[in-house]
Formats: sequence, structure tokens, C-alpha cells
Amino acid sequence: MSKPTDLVQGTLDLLILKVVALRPLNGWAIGKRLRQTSDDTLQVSDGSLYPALHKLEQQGVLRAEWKTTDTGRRAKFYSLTRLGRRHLEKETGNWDRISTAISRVLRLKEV
Amino acid sequence: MRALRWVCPIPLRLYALFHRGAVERDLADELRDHIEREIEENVARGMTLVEARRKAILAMDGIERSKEECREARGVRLLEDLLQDLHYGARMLRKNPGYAALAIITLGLGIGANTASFSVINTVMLRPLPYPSPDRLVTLSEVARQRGREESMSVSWQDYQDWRKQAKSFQYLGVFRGQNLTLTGMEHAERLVGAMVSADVLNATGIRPLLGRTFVNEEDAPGAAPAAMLSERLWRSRFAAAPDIVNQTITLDGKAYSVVGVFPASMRFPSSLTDVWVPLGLYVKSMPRDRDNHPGLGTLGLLNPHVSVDQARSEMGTIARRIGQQFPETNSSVEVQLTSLYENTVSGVRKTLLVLLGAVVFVLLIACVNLANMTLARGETRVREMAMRSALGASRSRLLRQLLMESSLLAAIGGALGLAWAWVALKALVASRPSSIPRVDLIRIDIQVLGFTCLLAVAVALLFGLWPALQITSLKSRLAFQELGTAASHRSRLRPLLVVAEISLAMVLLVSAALMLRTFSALSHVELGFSPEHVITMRLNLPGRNYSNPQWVSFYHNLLSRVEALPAVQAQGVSSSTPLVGGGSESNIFPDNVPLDPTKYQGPGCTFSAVSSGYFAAMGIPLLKGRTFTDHDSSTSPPVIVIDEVAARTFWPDQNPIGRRVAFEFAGRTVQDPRPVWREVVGVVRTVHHYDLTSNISRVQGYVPYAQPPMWFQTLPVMTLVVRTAIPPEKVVNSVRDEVAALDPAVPVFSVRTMTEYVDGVLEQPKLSTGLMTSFGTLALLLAAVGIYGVLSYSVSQRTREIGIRTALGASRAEIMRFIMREGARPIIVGAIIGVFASLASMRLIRGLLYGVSATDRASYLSVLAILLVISLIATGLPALRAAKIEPLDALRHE
Repeated sequence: MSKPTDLVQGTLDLLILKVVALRPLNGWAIGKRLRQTSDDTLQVSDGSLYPALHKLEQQGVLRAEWKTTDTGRRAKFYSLTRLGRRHLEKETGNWDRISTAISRVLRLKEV
Repeated sequence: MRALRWVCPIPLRLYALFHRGAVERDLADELRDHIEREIEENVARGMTLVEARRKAILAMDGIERSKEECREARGVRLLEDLLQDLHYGARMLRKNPGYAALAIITLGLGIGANTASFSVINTVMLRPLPYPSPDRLVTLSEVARQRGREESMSVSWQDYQDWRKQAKSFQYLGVFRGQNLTLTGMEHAERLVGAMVSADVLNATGIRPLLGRTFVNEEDAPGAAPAAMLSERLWRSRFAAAPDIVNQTITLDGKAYSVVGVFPASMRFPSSLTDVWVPLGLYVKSMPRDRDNHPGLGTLGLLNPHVSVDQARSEMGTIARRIGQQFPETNSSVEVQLTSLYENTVSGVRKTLLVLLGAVVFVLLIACVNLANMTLARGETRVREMAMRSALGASRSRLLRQLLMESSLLAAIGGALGLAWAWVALKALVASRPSSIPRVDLIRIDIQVLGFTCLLAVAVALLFGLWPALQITSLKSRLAFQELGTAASHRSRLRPLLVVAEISLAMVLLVSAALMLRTFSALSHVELGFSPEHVITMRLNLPGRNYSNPQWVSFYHNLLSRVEALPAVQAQGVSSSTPLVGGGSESNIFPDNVPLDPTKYQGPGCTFSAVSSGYFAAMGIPLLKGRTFTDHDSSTSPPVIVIDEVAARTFWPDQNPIGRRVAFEFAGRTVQDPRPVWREVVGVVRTVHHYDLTSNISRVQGYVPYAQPPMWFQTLPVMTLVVRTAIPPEKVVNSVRDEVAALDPAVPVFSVRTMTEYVDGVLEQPKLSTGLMTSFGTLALLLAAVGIYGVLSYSVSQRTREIGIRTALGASRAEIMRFIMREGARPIIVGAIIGVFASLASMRLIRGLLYGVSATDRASYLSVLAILLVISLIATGLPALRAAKIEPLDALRHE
């Protein structure tokens, strides 16, 4: 039952947190936003999106509530908790450090 | 952070657990909302509604599957699933009552046998002895080492005195001796199991009395006012648990003793049957002054704290050497043997118990293998079910969990059944009170045993559940539905391995059982040297104050003529010791053809009995040469002796022993002037197994007329009356008692037992272990047979189509049968070969329990193989027969 994940393990969580940090969104919108902002580079399958959302809610970094949207439809909206905000800051810092480090290694040239 | 992550979800999880419906609705709504939005967008992009819908669901990787993964992400699944699995498992078992019953019974037998064995071992071997400092208690005895032979002896009174003076290792060191006493002055006289003990023996045990106190040193001295301690049992049964028993006076052997205390039931020294303790100091005057006299004393010591058994042993070795240098005539070859009390208690049964434990572990292993086999076979038929459930989104761990839950359920029920079975078996064991197992009356199922059974059940569930579960669940991932059949039969190639394991395990058990059976048969057919049938024995103790030497001889003379006159009595006699009772009187013996120098004694020890003329006929000991005693062999006639065949052969090979002389008593006290008392050999009798059945008799035996007792019997011995009858011998007991009472009503008659009972007593432990081993072996064989049958018949049912085709192509029924049986035979043959080697390897462990049969006894191995062959034929024949009956047409319609 392997999930087709094109993302580094754990990165999906970080992306979700970041997307939701700007404003509360429902699951469908989160997936869509992820695709749009990355110009379809990051293909998050809906099949792995929802389990990830539910896991994050369990961990207490996301809060979920049913709200009525501007179009009058009810949807489940996810927003960041305080714990989630701290988590996001920390993980973003981590990510920056790691990606900088990786980029440096990849840019190595023979001397 | 980590902690927070753990704590935060708890309310949510609890909510999810208790509001399952709401959570499920929420999940469904959310996903439906998502799909709807996706469809709208897809339609907006220009797809048809159907296409849009399909795309949306595909993007989700299936709605049900997503739901399942979300549920798992919520993490409440575990508990919920467990309950569901339990429910589901119970339903599956109900639907397969045959499988469930077989599994539960198999497990119950295996777990039960293990639980029972563990309780016995726990009580007998693992539980510490019931004294405050059990690790520091040691027993001491003496060993004579001559010409590489070792003879264990009781402790010499004089040596003990030196030990006490010199040894520094002990906090307490004391001696004791069994001393049965007659309690009178109550409504009826009672013979009590008693012990004379130094005050320090009681101090060493450290057991506090229930009432009163133990002996003080002043009481443990010659001439002190006689004191006694009672057992709780005696205090309750004969003194109605009187609270004022302390300081009361009781009459023991006609003497007044003041009761100083009552021991609780936990006091089991020297034996669990001891009812009365008296100070040994009172009897010091009767202790032998000669150093080479070992008057049946045992020694108990409590080591000083921080002194190890080895340290004490080396100190005692030094002391023994010092005494040996000081008294070379008596002690040059005497060593001290120091063993921990625990070792002393347990050493007799340890080997038997461990072998039996090994056997039951084997039975359990076979049971597990069998169940794994059955589970696997059943699992293969369930591959379709598993594949279906997995397609519906069940993860592999979920399927594994469910299968394990089923086996846990079986193991739990099997464990409960086993516990019940062990309880019944232990009750029967304790009720039969085998004297060869120490502390047997304390065996019970306690919290430790319960814990053991639970652990065992868990281990069993994993052992027989995990492997098949892994097999079954690994199948489905690469299976398309149509491949199921072939894949299953591919897998079943692993299962013959289980048959191999079963057969080899069963083989080891069966060989052990066969060897034990041969041992038991050899023991039962040992040439005893006497004939035990129709013989009753009873011991008599004459009150010492009323009987001087000539008087006790005439008492027995009169008694024997009265018993002779009783109807149905064929022969009667008295003896100072009888075979297989335990105990005997030993001495050096000098034939007339060796120099009479006790310091250089190289000959065998001699077991002596003082007997009446009729004893040989009564006990059925055949006379080989010369004569037995007559009434003319009296205290005034020349001293005579009857020796056994071994003595005759050892002392005078190829010569007629009749008329030769031996000496074992010395009137003089010094080596220079021994003044031997020579006795003329008048007869030679068959050698008797005096102590047990198995030991090689290195000693010789001598009988003297009771009217001419050895010097050490001048003080009144306890004699055993032996009566041979034409009717069942128990029937004469009352009339014999009447005759004794008619002569002297104050004489107690006790230890009334037939000789057959003594023989059975000696055979008890081998009988027990043989019986258990045989039943375990049979059980193992049955389980293995079920295993073989199961594997083969499953294989036949899987291959119905193939067999049908073969038949259609012209294979005869005989050919089909041969074909199936050959398939069944292969693992059996491999298993048997492994089993033979495994048996040969493991027989070293039980060699110590064998007698009269070698551990590689060919007949035993062959008969086991033969039994295995017959059982295998049946177990493979039945499925083969079924295969042969398969009609080609039915086979093609199959599936």
C-alpha cells in the first residue's frame, strides 16, 4: 500500500502548515493552493492530503471547524493553533538550514 | 514539545472513541465536500459529469481507502480494532468449531502439562527452603574413602565433638537423630515420629515456636530435666490445642518430659512428619566412645554470615585431615562431606524433574507446531478473504493483528483449560503423596504459577500465530484473485518442514519413554534375593526399663511361637533390620585368612542383622549352603553367623565357606590386643537388595542369631516381626496385635506394612517418571499423527483437479495412493532420521535415570521407529485412500 509521495517525508506537513498559516482553508483549497503556488511542481495526491490533515489535527497543530463559506456552502476549515505556529517557525528554520546546506553541497565545484 | 504532542491529542482521541458516529459522519461529509468541489472544477474545465466524477475519485485513490487512512491517522484505531478483532475472532472460531476445539484441546494439554510441571519444580526446587536463612544451612556427613570406593556414613560422636571445638565457620552446629517415641498416659498409646536434636539444630533452623520456646543449652546436657517440643499437628490432634500446654508433663517411652514449646507446621526438620523433639544431650551417655562408631547421627550447621559453603568445606577438610593424623587407626581415610541443605533436599529428584520438564516443553513445542500447521492450512483457504479485506483498505498490520487476535483467543482458552487440567493433575499427585518428592504437600497453583501460565499462553499465541499470520498476509499482496489456488499450493511446500520438526520431537520423547519403560521393567524384575509376596512386617519396641537382655530374647521367642500357632501363618521370624526399609547396621568384617589389623582394613563393609531362626523362611531368602539357625544357637552356645553368597565368594573364593570363621567384634580396646570374637560360618544365603534396587552391592551381608546379638545390639534393638501367610497378609495383623498385647499390652506395634509395599515404595519414583514420560510420548505421537494427516489431506484437497486429471489419463488407484503416500513419507523419513540423532544426543541427559538398559539400546530405537511407521502409515494412508477415490469427473467440476 505504498503512497505515491513525491515529497520528502515530513515536508508535506510543513507545506500544509505554511498554507494554512496565511488564512484558514478547507482541504480541497489547501490541495489546490499547494499545486498553484508551486506551479504544479508539487503534486500532492488528495489520497495523502486528508490523512495528513487528520494526523496534524490529532497532534494539535491544526484546528478544524465547520464554517459556511462566502458562497454559502459548509466546509471544514483548518487553521493553525498556537502550538502549530511555534511548530511552523521551528520547522521552517530547520528547512532553511537543511536546504541551504544541501544547495551548498550541490553547488560544489572542483578546485 | 514531544510530550505536548502526546498529551494534546488525548481529548480528541477520547472524543473520537466515544463519538464514533459523529466522527465518521464528519469524515464522510468532509470527503464528500471535497469530491463535489473537485467535480465542479473538472466540469468547469469542460469534462463530462461522469468523467469529472471518475477523475475526482481517482485523485483520492479511492474514497474508502482514504477514509481508512484518515481513521488510522486519528490513532484511535488500535483499541477499537482490538475489540473488533476480538469480536471477529470469536465469530470465526464459532464458525469453525472443529478447528477451535482441536486447537484448544491441544493447547490445553500442552499448557496444562507445563503448568503442572512448573508448579512441582517451583515448589520443590525454586522456592527457598522455609527457614529464615536457607542459604546458610548445611548438612555434614562423613565418607570413608578406601581403594577408590566411597562409603557415606553418619557422623561419629567423637568426631563431632572435635568439629564443635575446632570449626569456626558455623554460627550453630548441632547433631540430630531420628528417635521414635511412644506417647502414653492418654486414652491410647501412640507411636510418634520423633527426633533427638541438639539445641543448636533448632537454633540453626531459626524457626520460632508457636508457643513457648526452644531448648536452652542447659536442657541439652546429660542429667538435665527431660524437655520436649511438640509439633503443631500433635498439639492440635492430641492436646486439643490447649493454650496452657507449655510446662505440662507428658509421658514418652515411660519417662516424664516437660513440654517447653510447640513448633508451627512450617517446622519440617529433620522431617515433615516429625511430631516430637527431645534434647540429644539427654542421651549423651549412650553415645559410643569409640571414634569409628558412626551411630546414625546427622549434622546440621548454620554458617556464619559471609562464610561461603566452599570456605566451610575447606575448613572441614582441614579439620578432618587433622583428626586423621591424630587418630590414624580410625580416621586416616575418613573425610567430611559438607553440602547445602538445599542441595541435600533436592539432589534426589532434580534430574527426574528436569527431564520431565524437558519432556513437557517438547510436548508444548509439538502442540505449537501442530497448531501453526493447522492455522496455516486454514489460512490458505482464507487467502481469498484476506485479499478481499486488503483490497477494501485493511493494512497488513491490521490483518496480522486480526489473525494474532484469533490465536491469542485460542491460547487464552487453551491456557484456562490447561490451568484446570494442571489443577486436577496436581491434586492427584499431592493426594498420592509420593515420598520421593520433597515438599510435595506444599505443591499448589499460586500466583507465580498463574504468571507462568499467562506468559506461556502469550508465548504460545505468538509461536503458533505469528508465523502463519506472516505467511498468510504476505501472500495476498502479490495475488490476483485467479492465482489463489496455485499460490496456495506453492506455499504448502513449507508445511512438510513442520512435519519434520514434529516427527523428530516426538521421536525424542518416544525414545525416552521406551528407555524408561525398559528401565522400569528391569527394575521390576530385579532379583530381590527375597520374595515379597504374602509377607507382612511390623515393628515392635519393648519398653527398655522392663526388658533386660535375656528377657527380650524370651519375649520374642514366646511371641514367635504364638504367631506360629495362628491359622494361615506359614513362616514367622524377627530381624533387627529388613530389606528396602532404609537403614541398617554396618561394620568392618575380618575373615580368618587375612591379618587382623583394623588400621589396614581393606575389605568390604558388612550389613548386619540379628535374626531368629525362622526369618529366612519368612522373608523367603533362599539358603544356598549349610544351615540356618536353630533354637540351639543360644547365648551360651558357640557364636555362629550366616553370610551371603557375595561374602563367601569374596573371602574364600573356590573354597567351602562352611566352618570358616569371621570376626567383627572386639572385646579388647587396643590394636595390640583386639581380642576378636570369632564366629563360625554355618550357612550361606542369597544376597538381598538391602538398601535399594539399583546400586551394585559392594557390601557383604551377615546374619547372627538374635540370641547372640552383636555387642552393639546389647542395648535393646527395635525388632521387625516378619510373617509369611497363605492368605492376604493384612488379614493376620489384628490377631498378631492381639498376641503381642497378650504378652505385654505396653508394647507398641507400628510400621505395619507388607513387603510388597516396600518394594512398590522403591519403585515409586521410576514408576512415576515412566508413567509420565510414556503419556507425554503418546501425546506427542498423537499430535504428530494429526499433523501428518492434516498436511496430507489438505494437500489432497488442494490437488483434487490434478489427481482427477492423472486418473483420467490412466493412473490407477494404486498409483495415486503410492503417489500421495510417497509425498507424505518424505518429511516423515527426514524427521525420523533427525529424531534418531537428536535422541542419541539428548539421551546423555537421561542416562542417570536409566537402569539395566543402555542409552543407545537398539531394541528401544527400533520399536519406536516401528510404532512411528505404523502411525505414519495410518496417517498417510487415510488421505491417500481419499485421493484414490477421487472420480475424474468430480475433480473437473471442483472449483
